[in-house]
Amino acid sequence: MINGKIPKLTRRQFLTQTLVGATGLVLVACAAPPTQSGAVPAATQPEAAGPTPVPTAAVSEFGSGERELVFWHGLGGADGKTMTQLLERYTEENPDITVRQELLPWDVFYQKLPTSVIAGTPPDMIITHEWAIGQFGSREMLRSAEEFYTERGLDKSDFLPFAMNNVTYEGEPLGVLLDNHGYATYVNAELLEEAGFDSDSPPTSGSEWLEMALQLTRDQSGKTAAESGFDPENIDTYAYVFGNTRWGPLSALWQFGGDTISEDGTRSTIGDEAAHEALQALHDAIYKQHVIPVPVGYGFRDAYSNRKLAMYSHGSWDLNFIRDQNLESITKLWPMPHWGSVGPAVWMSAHVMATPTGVDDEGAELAAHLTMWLSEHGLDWAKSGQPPARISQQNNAELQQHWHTGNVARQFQEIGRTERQHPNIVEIQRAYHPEFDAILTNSKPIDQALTDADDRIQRILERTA
Amino acid sequence: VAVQRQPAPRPKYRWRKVLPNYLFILPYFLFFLLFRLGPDLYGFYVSFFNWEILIRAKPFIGFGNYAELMRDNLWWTALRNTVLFACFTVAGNMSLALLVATLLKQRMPGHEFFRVVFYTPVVLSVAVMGVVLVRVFNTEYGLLNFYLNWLGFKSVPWLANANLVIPVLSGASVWWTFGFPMLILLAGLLNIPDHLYEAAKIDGANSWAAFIKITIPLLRPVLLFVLVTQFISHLQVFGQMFIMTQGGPGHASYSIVMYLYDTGWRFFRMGYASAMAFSLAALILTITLINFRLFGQRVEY
Repeated sequence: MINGKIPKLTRRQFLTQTLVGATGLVLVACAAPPTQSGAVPAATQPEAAGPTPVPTAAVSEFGSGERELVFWHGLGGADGKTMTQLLERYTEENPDITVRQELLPWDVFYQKLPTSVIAGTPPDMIITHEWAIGQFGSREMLRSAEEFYTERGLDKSDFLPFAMNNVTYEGEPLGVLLDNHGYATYVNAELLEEAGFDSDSPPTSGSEWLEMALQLTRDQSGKTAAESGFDPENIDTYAYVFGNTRWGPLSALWQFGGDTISEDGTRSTIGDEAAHEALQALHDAIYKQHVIPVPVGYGFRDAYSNRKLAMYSHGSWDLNFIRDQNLESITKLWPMPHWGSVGPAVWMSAHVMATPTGVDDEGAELAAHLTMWLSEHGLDWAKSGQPPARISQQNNAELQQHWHTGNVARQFQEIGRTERQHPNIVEIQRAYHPEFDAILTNSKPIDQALTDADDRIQRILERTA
Repeated sequence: VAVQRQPAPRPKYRWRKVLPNYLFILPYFLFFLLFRLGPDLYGFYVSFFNWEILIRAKPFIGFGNYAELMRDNLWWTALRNTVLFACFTVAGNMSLALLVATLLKQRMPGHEFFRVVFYTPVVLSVAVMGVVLVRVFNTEYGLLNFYLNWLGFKSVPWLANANLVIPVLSGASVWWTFGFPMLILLAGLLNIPDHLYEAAKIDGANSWAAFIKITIPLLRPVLLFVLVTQFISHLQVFGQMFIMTQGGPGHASYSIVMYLYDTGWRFFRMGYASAMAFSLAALILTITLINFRLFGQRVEY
């Protein structure tokens, strides 16, 4: 027996509510899908002939030509806006071509691409990252890109050698580098000058950097971290933070002469002395000198916008964040801080244009055409904040003078480094990155965390061998 | 008196009688066969191979993946995190749901409004819930620390402290999911006849005694249902960790399903991921059987 009184629903009420609900659903279903500005909603376009990958994210079509190119990438940030503008220009110049762009979050992109290759419905062209090439190459997921360098006029020596090396798997290039992107250090010139520093003179050594960082970190009473009576429990302004707990510590690791795996890919080196020194230096900066906040979960962009953070290192793609927040006039770009005992180094990566296995010759030809066009328009792509991959374009006088992109390009040419290529690089990254996090949040002793990472990486390397 | 035996119905007649029943379940059964049982069995088969996406050689390795799992420290870490999370969340959900359902049964003013309010978080997707709660628990600019600072307390790194992260995620999940068990328990409470409480009152029992001696025993089948379904659900936790902590700090909130997802879709090791999936299924089955054994007795008055 049910004791509770159930409110009576009349047939009229039921029908009215059903009608209202159904109308709402129909209206929602009929609403236009989100599209990039200036792009025609994909739903209004005729279907392409042949198998077409099912869209799961923002889909836009550019142009109305008869030949359709399906193009997947994950450029969803500020650089995505620049890509949209470039595709609009490309289809204006090539009216016989339609580009169907599918923008996927990178995580989804990296899951969906293998399944599309297995299903025989890959996109004609993708943008991926240089570190993924080893993984894709070992699984035969990409077509050879050798013809770009032998027949279409690209010169391998016009790209940074280590980036070019990562795009090459077992001697064969599998893509064309679009840009070099990576860590840039954004500096609030006003805060530096208020503290008595010249914002045009970056520190040149670890001790100089630390001295400056101690002066820039202030507690709520206004005392700097260099003064006695400084209260580390109530810090108002921090000197510095790295926005990602993988790329920051990796840069430090290289500066101390360490690495994650050996050059021949047979031995884990994350447990070596250099890694201990690098992580100890960062740990000390957080918990002893108090010049860096615990970076996990720290809202570095909010802090920087609100003058609570003097410097931060994050991606070259942050240029548009600086612009959107009207911080361009007070921001300067510095090279990565020098912490290490061996030499300067900064983490960088690169976007790569490639064509998956299983694309027919017509699709591959369209992809090659767009790839070459984008490669030639590298200086336009640089408006996104990402330096073009071609060194000849990076050395363009106008680009070199740009306060952001010119500086970033120079930094990558001089001290840029990428991770080593490996068929299971993502698994290796997932083996050490959480351990870096554990060290930086003081959840694990440095020795234990690095030993755990070392064990896991060594097992991955042995399994792959 | 001789008992007259009913003749058994002829097989053809019996089939004609039961055939519509099978036809009714046929669409679902086909769907189940194609999209559930088939892939499950195939996954079990895959777990015996070194099966990597797009790698041609897929050697049979017998129980190799299961043996590797037993030696894998990260598996045990993820298992510990998952079981802790499930125990905290199920305990929190059951206690809070029972408390709120008991209060709502009293038909106090506005009880229908509160029933809706308590149920509302259930309709949120895990993505929405995660994004909102990251803002609540953020160390620097989170709502919770804002109020703590306002009251004069120091900020707490809710999601960046290895010892706090699982209880915090459990608390968040209780807020998000307790509405469903609350509704089930409320329906169960409303099913207990009033005359039993009246009889207890006449016999001099106070409210607590009535709750312990009448409500809990008669609610046992409903409690068992809630307990079993809650454990099954929370042992498969993924979204909260994936969105709010990415399994961190370190591996402090790394769950089995996160590890499974990483192994299958980021590392492309489908054989090993399948072994994890079936090990998790075995764990869920074991916990379910224990729950049935401990709480399965039925009480009738």
